[in-house]
Amino acid sequence: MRVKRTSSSANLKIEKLPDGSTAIFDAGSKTVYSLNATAGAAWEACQGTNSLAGVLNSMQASYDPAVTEEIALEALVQLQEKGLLLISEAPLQPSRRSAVAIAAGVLAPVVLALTSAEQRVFAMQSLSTTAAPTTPRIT
Amino acid sequence: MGTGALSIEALLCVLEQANPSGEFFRGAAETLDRHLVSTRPAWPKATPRGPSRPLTIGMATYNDYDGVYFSVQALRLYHPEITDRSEILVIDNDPLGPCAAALKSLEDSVPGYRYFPYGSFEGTTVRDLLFREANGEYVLVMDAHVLFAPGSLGRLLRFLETQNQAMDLWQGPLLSDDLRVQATHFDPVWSGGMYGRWGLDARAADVDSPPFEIPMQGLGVFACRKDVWPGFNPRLQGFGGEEGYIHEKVRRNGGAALCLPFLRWVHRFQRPAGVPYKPTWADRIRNYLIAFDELQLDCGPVVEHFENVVGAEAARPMIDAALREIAGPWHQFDAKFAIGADPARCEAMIGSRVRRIDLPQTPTNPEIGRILAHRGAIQEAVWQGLHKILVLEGEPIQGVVYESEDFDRILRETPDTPTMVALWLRRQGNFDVFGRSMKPGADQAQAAG
Repeated sequence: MRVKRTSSSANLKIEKLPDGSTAIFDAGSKTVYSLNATAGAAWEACQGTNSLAGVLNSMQASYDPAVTEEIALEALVQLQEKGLLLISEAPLQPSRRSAVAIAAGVLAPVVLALTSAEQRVFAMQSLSTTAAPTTPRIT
Repeated sequence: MGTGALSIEALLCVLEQANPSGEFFRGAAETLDRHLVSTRPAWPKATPRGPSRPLTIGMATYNDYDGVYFSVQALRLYHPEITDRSEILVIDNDPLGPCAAALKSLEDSVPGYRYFPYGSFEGTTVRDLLFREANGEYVLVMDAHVLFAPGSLGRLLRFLETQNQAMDLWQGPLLSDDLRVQATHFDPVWSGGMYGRWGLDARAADVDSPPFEIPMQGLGVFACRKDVWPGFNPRLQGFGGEEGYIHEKVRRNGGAALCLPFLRWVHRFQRPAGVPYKPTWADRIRNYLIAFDELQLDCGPVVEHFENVVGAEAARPMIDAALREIAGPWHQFDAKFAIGADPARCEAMIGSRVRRIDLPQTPTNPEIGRILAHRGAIQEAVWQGLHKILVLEGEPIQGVVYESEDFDRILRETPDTPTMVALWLRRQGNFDVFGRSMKPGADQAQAAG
């Protein structure tokens, strides 16, 4: 399995917060992400490596030795679902993921996002009401 | 397992921990702003200010794109010698109207052109705002359907550069449609519902004659140093009443109203398709009475003239309403703003004209929108040099008074974006400490009693 960040680092404004969580703003999509400490550790690990084993090792070293492969994988899957990562192989099955969540307890990763979808809808509405010009403009 | 959306409340918690000057905070706050406010700004944005230039050529328009277009392009085509030394400032007094987008788009093709939307009230005195917003030392105000004789503006600029201490108001001869000098001034007499009747001074026949003093003139074209512009009374609204009044204010300020014989202009008087605004006798009578009251002039001639022109039976209710307003308790306020409340109801309640400020809809916390609207009224007061304002809001309608000594502090101590207001409220911010509450019905009765 290979993992890769989707956005160029120039687009991402990242801040580690005092409560251990990580906040990310993607200037390209205008989306805001909030990653709890576990998800943040997985995200951090993806900078230096691109394999599950590498991510797991990094999370155990930098965050918590109790992180399991299932927890690391779940974090990567959530980051992928929110569009922050690309994973080259199929993610875990839903039933298996629920079991991971219960087992992980406080180490369960959480990735939340606020998109600018409403803004895009508004822009589309504005465009659709523009009348056709009576005389073509030279451009 | 949390794979859902980041709620507004959760993002506010995140922002409380983030560095407010960091890139994450700035970007996230912009995204959150769009989620907090459910209504989008309906007006085109003002063009950012460019570098300062000696002369601002300003015009105010109400749905007259053609007038603006041809006036602006005539300035560029026939007066290229001033292009690099002037800016063109257009105040759009109907920024929700059909011409707004087209007026705004001229900024893309006309260097030095600046679009400025303004919709708190409508009227000819919005030209006052050209001086507030001008980026030049001198301001030439023109109707948005005026053309200048070739060479006149280059000569005006050379003249103005010798006038950096002047307190004067400068105007020029009006040309008729056959391009002959038709008039130079208004004689100070009442005529046809206006104070002032066109007159012709022979000295204007020679374009090289020196400037000469005039009693007054129509305000199709006039210029003044920005710093000494005496300003229109902020209570004036609608169309008419400034001629003569502003000339008298200039004189009382130590200046003179001068006709510059070289500053020749033509004016589109004919409007066969009609005008998009509705001048009313009530506005005109009210404006004259407020202006005469401000100058402590005898209002008798105003009353007599309009009783003759409109008929006593029709004029008297309009005159009485204006005189009641001037004598009433709300006249002390330079401006009354309706926020969220129906302006017509507010006007009926206090017997005075009001301005409108947009109330942003912020469903997650309506107080955010309310604070932004109050700040908007205070910002407008600072910008226009107002001293005392009344904000009307709510159901039943309530009033809040703000005074100039508090304006800067309020704007300094309160945030100006939806996200920053939301965070400020979470820190127990309370905007109500800045103003003084007033119940229009009760306080009016008290003041009257």
